[in-house]
Amino acid sequence: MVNNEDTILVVDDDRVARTALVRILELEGFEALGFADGAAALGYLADAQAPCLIVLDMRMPVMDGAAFREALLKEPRLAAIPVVVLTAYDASAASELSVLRVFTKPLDIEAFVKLLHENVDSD
Amino acid sequence: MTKLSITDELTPVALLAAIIDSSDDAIVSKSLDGIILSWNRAAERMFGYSATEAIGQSITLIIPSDRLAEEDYVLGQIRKGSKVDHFETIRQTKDGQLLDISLTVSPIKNERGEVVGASKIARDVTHRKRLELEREELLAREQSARVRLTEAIGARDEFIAVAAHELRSPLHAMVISMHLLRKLCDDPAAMPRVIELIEDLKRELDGFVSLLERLFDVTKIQTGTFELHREPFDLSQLVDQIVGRFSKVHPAISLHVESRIEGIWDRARIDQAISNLLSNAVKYGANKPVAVSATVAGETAVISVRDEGRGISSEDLARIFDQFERVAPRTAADGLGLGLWIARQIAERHGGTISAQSTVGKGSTFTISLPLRTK
Repeated sequence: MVNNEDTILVVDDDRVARTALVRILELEGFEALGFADGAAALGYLADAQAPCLIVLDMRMPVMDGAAFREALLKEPRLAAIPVVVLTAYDASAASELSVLRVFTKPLDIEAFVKLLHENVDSD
Repeated sequence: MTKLSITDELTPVALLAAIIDSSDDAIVSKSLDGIILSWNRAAERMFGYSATEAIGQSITLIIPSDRLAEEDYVLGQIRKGSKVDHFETIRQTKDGQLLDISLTVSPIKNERGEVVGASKIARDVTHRKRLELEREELLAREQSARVRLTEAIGARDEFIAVAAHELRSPLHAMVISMHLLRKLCDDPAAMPRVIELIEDLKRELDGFVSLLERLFDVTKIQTGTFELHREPFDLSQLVDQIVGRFSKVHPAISLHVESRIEGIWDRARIDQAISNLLSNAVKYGANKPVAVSATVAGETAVISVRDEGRGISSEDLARIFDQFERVAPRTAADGLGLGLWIARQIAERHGGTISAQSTVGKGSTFTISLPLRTK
């Protein structure tokens, strides 16, 4: 089992946004891993230790953000992981997913990083 | 000079006769067997039979054959001493014309109070009926316009939501990349990643601009300011160039073009329409070969793009060129469902057509036909 209790997962199908965000998180002192859809992230989580936070896009192919969140909540080991949603739709669309915070795209990076530092211990 | 009153001039019977004769409503009397006994001038005008022709005939003279049963009902009521009030029906004139009339039939009684016949007052309501019909038609038209308007507003709102999403996504990627770029600029070792980011940014920006262009195209088409800038050029050469561009991202594109297909078209718009078809073929073509051809059939240049992807159902084919329509689910790929609609506008504004044939599971062929000569 991978020890990644300090890891943040970034689940977003937009390659450019995902890879850049992963690098930004690394520069902020977090461990970060990117996944292109909910199913890929869920596959990873099956064998890995729970990460400290998940950054989740809503509209993705294969398994979208809502379906992924639902799958997390069904699994007691994963249900408590804090989730931050990034959506290009109205924030209200994700209001029923019981997440830590919903950000709309384009992301307010300062506010986002501040929230992470408040909720996650970085190295 | 003394003025005489009407009652001085006429006896009561003559007065009644004068009133009946000057009425605009047809006033007819008939026996209990339905034989016409009197027929005023308005009846002559309304039904076309003179009094001489009508009197002595059966009242069925003016009843259309499919309404003969009505007479039995009316006579039945009269025999019972009842009145038939404002009964709306249809009667037939001498020349076969059908009139909408409102009928009031009252029993005529003798001195002993026995019913001996019936008086019948008929008013031509054809004009009123026509107005009513027109009103109903207008109302139905207004209601269907309202339904169409509600649908259009719904489609527009959905379009705005999707457009906002499509604009926010590349903006997000650009904002994040810019932020990272700023951070990496301090680290000389990060130069390869910086170059990569700048290239990503350029692609995102190009996508963003092309999306904006499509949105502007929609506005131009809808406000009637979408104009063609025609120039003479060789279509085979253009198709060759477009395929060259797409071959960089999708190597399996075969090309068959006739040499020199000269015409006067809007080069940039034709490029846009063909590029849209090719982009769809690459996006939905399941990474299988795509075949492009440009040929001449009579007076028409025919460009076709064939893919071997999942194909389109006949139901979807019917609406694929409509505004805001797309066959793929919104979550599966980017897009506003505007490309084919704009391609159709481009083809049609050139006096041409765009069409699609498809077999589910086997692939689709999109064809643009353009007249070689401008009309």
